[in-house]
Amino acid sequence: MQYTHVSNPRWANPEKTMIDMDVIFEGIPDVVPFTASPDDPMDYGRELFDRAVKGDFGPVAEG
Amino acid sequence: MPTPTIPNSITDLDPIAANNSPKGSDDTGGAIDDLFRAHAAIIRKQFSVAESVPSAENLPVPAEGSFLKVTKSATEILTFSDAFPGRAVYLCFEDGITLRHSAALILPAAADIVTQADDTLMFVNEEAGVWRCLAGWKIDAGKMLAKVSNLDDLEDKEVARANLGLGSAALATIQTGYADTNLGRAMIVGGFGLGAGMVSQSTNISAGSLQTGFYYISADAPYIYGGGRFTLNMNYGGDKAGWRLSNEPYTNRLFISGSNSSGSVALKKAAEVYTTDNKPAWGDVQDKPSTFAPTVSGTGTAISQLAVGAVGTYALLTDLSTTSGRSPGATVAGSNLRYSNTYSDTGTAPPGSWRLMGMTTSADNNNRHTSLWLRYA
Repeated sequence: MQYTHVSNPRWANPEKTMIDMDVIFEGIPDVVPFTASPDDPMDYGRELFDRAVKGDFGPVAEG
Repeated sequence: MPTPTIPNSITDLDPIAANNSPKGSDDTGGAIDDLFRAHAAIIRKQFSVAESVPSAENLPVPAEGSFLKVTKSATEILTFSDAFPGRAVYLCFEDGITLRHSAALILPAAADIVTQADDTLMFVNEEAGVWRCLAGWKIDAGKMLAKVSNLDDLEDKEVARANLGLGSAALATIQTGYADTNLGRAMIVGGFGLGAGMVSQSTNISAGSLQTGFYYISADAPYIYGGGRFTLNMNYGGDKAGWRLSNEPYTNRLFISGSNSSGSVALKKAAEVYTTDNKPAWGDVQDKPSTFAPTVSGTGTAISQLAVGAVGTYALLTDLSTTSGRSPGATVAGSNLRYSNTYSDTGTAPPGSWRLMGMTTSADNNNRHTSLWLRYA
């Protein structure tokens, strides 16, 4: 799936192994609450996690 | 009383009336008719053909006569003898006499003149010791300035162009046709299809010979590189193929023809460019699977190969994010859910976004918060 916009990244658990974020995907009209994980079987899910950790979508807030 | 002096030449007359004959003290009784005739003759002689004079370094110009011929004797004329200030005369020269420009003989554009037979020039005795050439022309029509000669019939073309304010473009020969390819020529409107319609090209012509420009390859011409007939052709080096854009008239079909090889006059066969208004047909797609129609077994195999938690998979999950119930279709992030079992034991959180495909109800008991979810993003 192709995403076009990501906002509001925040840690999803105390271990900081997942990041919740709001994502707009092509073909889905509404903002999607999404959990990004490095273990996601979907490649864009892993990519979103990596980019969020790097700060591409702003600092990751504490959950 | 003294008798009046009868004038004989224009030089006997004076611009001041009182200095002319007869004087007031003269006895004009028997000479008045002679005086009238003399003045009439002097006037008429100013507008007459004078005797020819031979060319000389100091050309003897008579004081009377409006036109005279200069025969060739000396090869150069440096000065004219004085007549009187204001004296004007047309001189008609024989061939091969050189008039040298100087402060005493002022010639057009400060340039020497080499006469041709019957060249006729007008001069005026501007002041003592100074003659100026005012105008001139060729009597022979065959030697007159002609438009088609592009000033080629002038003795000194560079000086003439400078006097006319012409730049170097005046040296160029104009293109003789829309496809005239002679280098250095001045392009006409429509040359090679610029500024007017495309140039119609009806013969089988190689890309190397077709100069850069806009062309219509007419329908009866074998179009050896394919593509469309409305063509922007880009030549390389004047005789080699560059590349080409084209459009098949009145369609959405666009083509690009690439260069073939170094020094080649040929292009590669035109490749069609697919656009939103000209999408490729199934047969145009390369490296596609032999069949595309999904089968029951193929679909089942594909689904069975989805990883746990992949988009499109179902999972039995417990919703920990609320004690309220959720209706079918509710969506949450994976971090709110846990993999579960029918006893509502919980494991790890799935990634992604999930849609509730069953329902949950309000209760503190996890049993009522465990349901079937579909990952949709």
